[in-house]
Amino acid sequence: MHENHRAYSRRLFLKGITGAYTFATLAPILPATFAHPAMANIVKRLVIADGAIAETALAMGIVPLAMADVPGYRAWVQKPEVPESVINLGARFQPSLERLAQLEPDLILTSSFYANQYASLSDLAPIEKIDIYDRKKTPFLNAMAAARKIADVTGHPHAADTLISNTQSKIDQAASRLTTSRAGSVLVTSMLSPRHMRVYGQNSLMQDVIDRLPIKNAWTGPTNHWGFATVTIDQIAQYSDAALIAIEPVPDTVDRAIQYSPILSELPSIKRFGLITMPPVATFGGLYAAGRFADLLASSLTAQSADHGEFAS
Amino acid sequence: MTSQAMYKHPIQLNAVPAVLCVLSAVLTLLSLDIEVGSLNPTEIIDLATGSDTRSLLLTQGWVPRFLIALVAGAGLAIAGGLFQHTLKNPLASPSTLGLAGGAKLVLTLVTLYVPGALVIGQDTIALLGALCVGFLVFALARRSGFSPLIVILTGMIIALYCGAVTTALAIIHHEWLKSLFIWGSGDLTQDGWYILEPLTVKVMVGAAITATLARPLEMLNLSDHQATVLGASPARLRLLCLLIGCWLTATIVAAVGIIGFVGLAGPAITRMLGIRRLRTKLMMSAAFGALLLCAADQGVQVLSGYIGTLVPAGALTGILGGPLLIILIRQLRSDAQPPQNTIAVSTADRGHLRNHLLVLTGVFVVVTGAILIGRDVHGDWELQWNGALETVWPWRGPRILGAMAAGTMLAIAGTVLQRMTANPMASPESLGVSAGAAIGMIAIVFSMDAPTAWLQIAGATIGAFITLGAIFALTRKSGYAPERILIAGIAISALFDGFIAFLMAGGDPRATRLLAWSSGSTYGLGFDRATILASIAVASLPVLPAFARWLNLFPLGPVTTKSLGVDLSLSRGVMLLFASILTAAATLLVGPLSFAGLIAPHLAKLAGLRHALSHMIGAALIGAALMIAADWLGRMLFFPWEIPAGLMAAIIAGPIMVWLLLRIGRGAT
Repeated sequence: MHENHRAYSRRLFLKGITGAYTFATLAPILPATFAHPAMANIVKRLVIADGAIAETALAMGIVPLAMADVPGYRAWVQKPEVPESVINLGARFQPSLERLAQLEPDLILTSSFYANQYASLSDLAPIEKIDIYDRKKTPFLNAMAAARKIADVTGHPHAADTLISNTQSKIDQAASRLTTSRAGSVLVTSMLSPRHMRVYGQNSLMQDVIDRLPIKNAWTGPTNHWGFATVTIDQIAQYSDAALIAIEPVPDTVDRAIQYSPILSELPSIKRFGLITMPPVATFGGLYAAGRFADLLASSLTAQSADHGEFAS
Repeated sequence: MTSQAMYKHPIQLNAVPAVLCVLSAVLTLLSLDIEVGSLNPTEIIDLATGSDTRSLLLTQGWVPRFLIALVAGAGLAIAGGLFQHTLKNPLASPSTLGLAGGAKLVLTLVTLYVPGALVIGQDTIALLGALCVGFLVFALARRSGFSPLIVILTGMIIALYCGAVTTALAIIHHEWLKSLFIWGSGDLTQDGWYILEPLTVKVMVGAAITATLARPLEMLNLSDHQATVLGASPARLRLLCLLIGCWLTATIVAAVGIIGFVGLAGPAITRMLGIRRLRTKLMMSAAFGALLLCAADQGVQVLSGYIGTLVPAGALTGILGGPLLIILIRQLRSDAQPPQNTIAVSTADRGHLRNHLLVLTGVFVVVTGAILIGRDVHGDWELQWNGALETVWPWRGPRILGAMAAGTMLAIAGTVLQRMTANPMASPESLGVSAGAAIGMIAIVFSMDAPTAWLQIAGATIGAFITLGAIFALTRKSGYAPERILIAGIAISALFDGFIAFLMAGGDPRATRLLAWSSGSTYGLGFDRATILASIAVASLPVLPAFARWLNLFPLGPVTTKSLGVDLSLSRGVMLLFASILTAAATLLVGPLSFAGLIAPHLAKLAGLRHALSHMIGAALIGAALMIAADWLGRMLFFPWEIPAGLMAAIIAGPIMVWLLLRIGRGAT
């Protein structure tokens, strides 16, 4: 568990930020020196098929013509909000090809995970693949690079700088608020039933954010490509020092189970801190989700310190 | 059915129960060792009587989980045994009547549209869903005096229908259904005794009633006529048998979720042991079911420590049970009892030219409609001509062509299989080729970050051919006996369903996409692939007349067919190969949309087409029209959301089929 200190590396983060800063200062110069057309080339008919990319673009004020799974985004990601004008494309892994053809897009943004499903789309418009979750397992750094790339290819070169610095300040604020947190470590979960949950660890955006905060992620077990593991209640019972955080929505059955389930009610972590719930945040999100998660984590852990002992449900 | 049981290798057969016992004992001890940290009895007792978290996990987690596996396994196997006995079909299982499917559909609908109602408890809602479906099957089958054929067909159609609606909802709303996928995968993790206790009582009640009624139920082994002469009412006995089976299945599914295969495998092992009396048979089935589920669940507990993600027992029973059943096929006698169904053997077509013209007009209208009617960019309906059609044609045209070709091929394959096996449950899917292809595709999808469509097709092709080779090798000695082929197919499909349930429960984002593909979607089909598909479909048509004589004779049964001079092995082998090639081609290019292959032959037969050749051609036309209509509805109904064509076909054709069944039922009385 303590190796986690290694990952909590301010130096690594500073390196990223310095890099970003250098890039940001150079960015306005580069296109200016190359050619003005690059500035004029603001993509008008932009289509986004991936949730994390859509979230990042919207956070930078880049509103696409259409994106995939708008209702799903409104329920599970919530912020930044999708304007009413954005047209829904349907499922992320199967956006409606007929609607896409009718929209006549100039550029399609998606991740390689989805892109290869519809390689034939390249007949319609150029496709730009942007990946946050890949084998490098550094979603936070990837998210920063993704923000820059989205800004570049859509013709808004400055947009990424604001988002990157906003995210950084949110994480800094969260870090200073969390110095007074009662819990030294957390288990970040999505509860599925009184007995099952997803717990986020290595290769998740949450892990990368927690590494930049003065707390630890208690879950050091194996995780999948997207940075979570689906586990049962007995697998997390041993982490008695960690605060159990459940990202909303939490099924009603879980709240009720705290009353009658012998294991859930006797779980040391729940006895000590209660079940701490946190408003929805994109669990496979981009840079905006990172800042939002840091903010919400700090709020839920510090609010919890105040009314310790109560079930915060 | 087991009255003159003879076995070549009695020693091997007797080894099956022993192996099962040893396996479950070893796995239980291993998982107990992991749980307690030692196998020393005093330490175990110390821990069990302690009061810290670890003691709690042992007494409130491990122990009830161990017991619930035994109870659920035994109950499911008794239910499976009862269904197989009543329906006189060795392929019948607790899932045959669609109870689990009904439970899952009702839970899905409640979770999505009235989440407040979940307060009643997930198990209560699931039980209500299962019982509703049970009553529906009974209501539909009552007119026919619970004839096995009608019960199986209605149950199967309702199961497919519920499954199709549930999958369609899962594809669109998968985020909201995460906890449902866990239930659906049958994970046995317990957090107390509050699920086990009521379940045990309910299962005990069912088992006790079964034991008391076993003697009269034995009469169902006789023909309906003989039973009536002896003073029994076969319809009432069947109803009773089905009711007990439904009660057991519904309560278990509601409590622990969907656990496939145990209910099929328990009685299958018993049958191979040659036990004759129903009571003994059911008791042995219960014991094997309990051992199977216990071994699987303890195995899961040992395994999940290494894998690091949830491995639900229900998913594992499918994955383990598949190969087990394949091994057991080798022991099944080649002349094992064929399903005793009343199949119409007349080869004279009924109906008039008018009917045939109606079918042709139907096909024409469906094709024209699918080409011209669409939605504009705002989602409004419109008739699309020149410009508007030109924009969408590269994306719409290949899908229509592909759906038509796939529908034709699967319908032909389905007709060949249903006539050859004389089993109305046979469909291209039951060959296992589709599931083999799907497994090949899973292997590619999971070994690479983002494989291209053609790589996935390559994987699927390899999977399909390995499966095909395996099925031929496994059934060659028996002269490609139909029951063996179907069991092999079911085993391989169970393996695939297990994988999907495992992936859905683990929350892998790739699972939804696989689910969409495995329901048969023409999504992303280009003219290149669609043309290949259409050419294979066209090339298959001239072959059909060559099979007509064989397929006219096969429904008469193997003995008659043989005495009329047909080489059984050769003819079965050739037709099996033909059906497999058609199925594989359709599956590889558009996914396993097998419902057309199941339902089109039935519809064609109900339209009066009895001669093998006209049956095949009629089925091909109906299959093509069904798939085009389904594909169009799937694309347009919830635009821009898409429902895979295979699911849509089930949703359209299910009610038609039930209506037709009702008509047969009425005709029978």
